[in-house]
Amino acid sequence: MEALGELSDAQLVVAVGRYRKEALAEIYRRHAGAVYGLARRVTGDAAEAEDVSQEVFLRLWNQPDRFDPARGTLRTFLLTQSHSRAVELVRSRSARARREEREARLTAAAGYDLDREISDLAVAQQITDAMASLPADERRAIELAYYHGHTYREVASLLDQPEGTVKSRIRSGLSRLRRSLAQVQEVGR
Amino acid sequence: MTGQLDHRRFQELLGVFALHALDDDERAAVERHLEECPRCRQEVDAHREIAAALGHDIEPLPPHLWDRINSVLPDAPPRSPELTVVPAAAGSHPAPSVLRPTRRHRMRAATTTVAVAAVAAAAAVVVLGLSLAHTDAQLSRSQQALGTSRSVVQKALATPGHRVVSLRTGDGIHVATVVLVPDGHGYMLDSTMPALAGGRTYQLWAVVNGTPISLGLLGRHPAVAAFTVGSAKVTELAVTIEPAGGVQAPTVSPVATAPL
Repeated sequence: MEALGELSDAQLVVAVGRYRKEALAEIYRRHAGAVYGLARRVTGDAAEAEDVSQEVFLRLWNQPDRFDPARGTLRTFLLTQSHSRAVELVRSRSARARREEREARLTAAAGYDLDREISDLAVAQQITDAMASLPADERRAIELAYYHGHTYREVASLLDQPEGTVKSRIRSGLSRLRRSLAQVQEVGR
Repeated sequence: MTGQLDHRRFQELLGVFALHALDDDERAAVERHLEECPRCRQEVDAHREIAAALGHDIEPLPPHLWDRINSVLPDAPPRSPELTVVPAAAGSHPAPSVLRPTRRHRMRAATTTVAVAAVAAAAAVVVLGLSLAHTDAQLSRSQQALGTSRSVVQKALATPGHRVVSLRTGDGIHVATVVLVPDGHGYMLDSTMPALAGGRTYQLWAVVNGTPISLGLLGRHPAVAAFTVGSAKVTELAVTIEPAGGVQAPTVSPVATAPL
């Protein structure tokens, strides 16, 4: 297929629906780094991150109709699945020791930090800034849930807060992040 | 009101739902609620976008990962040539060549048992492209997907060497526009063909060497469709009305044609 790089994500998914493997390859080129990266971060395990990535792309190949461009971007769609699967692995894995080890590192950290190479520096900086500007309670609740795969009940217990408080802080934290990111111009596909 | 309390309970869970931070039972309850609450769906979609932004860590990919994924992808019909001419098995009567469109349909492939006499003689012919067990809902979703990418059509119209032809009835009435681009893709647009009753479908054909080859189904309410003719020498496009699910060869005369 020619000029793949010029097609939108939605157009590529339509092409995937026609068995265009090169369209899937282009989607992989654009998004696999993020899919794998998130899975790697949440599971803390390269092999599991590969498994998750394979599942996400295989599912897209087999069921491209699941993606509805009206509901969000392809990146969001793929990362939602990557995160969901990674969290499942974290919870079902009997590697409690590894989670506890990660938590120990989290509580030792002075603040929110990114210690890995990030290619999209502009977006990374926006997220870092937005997260840093959240009230600490909201930020920690989101971190524990999102990056460590805890349920909100576990977060409540880890932070020694009521469950209702955790639920509402996560919800308001996400809304606050959205508002601060909306203020920054985003260039997306 | 109990209803309002219930709804607030769901709203409180939307943030944690989007972060996959719910236990299974609560997750299932929220999923059910989302099926019937567009406002909550919208909020979840917005939270998911932020969650995706939080997941922006882009890792260097293990080099073998694509190969690994590639090797488990279910086989697709061959891509090039776009239309594969399968010669008929030996027989006195020249059986029609049957081409396999590469367009995949969403529903499970249903090999039809419609046996057109001459085609049946060519036992080696397998018409894979005719996985035509469509429902209108499936078709309209793919048409919707195309609709949200109307830029694809606009791009076709800007491609050098493109052709625009008119599908017309026998009385010369224009019923649809077709845009053909040199790479073998085509788009049917702006159809004014009347909606069909249930149990019927419009089917699009390309005539190659005097033989009509199915390009796919247009459904009961044709609007926009994309198809491929590849490098085959098509002399005419035609639309017929067929039983739902389509057929291997036209059973009736076309309702509209476009000579090329």
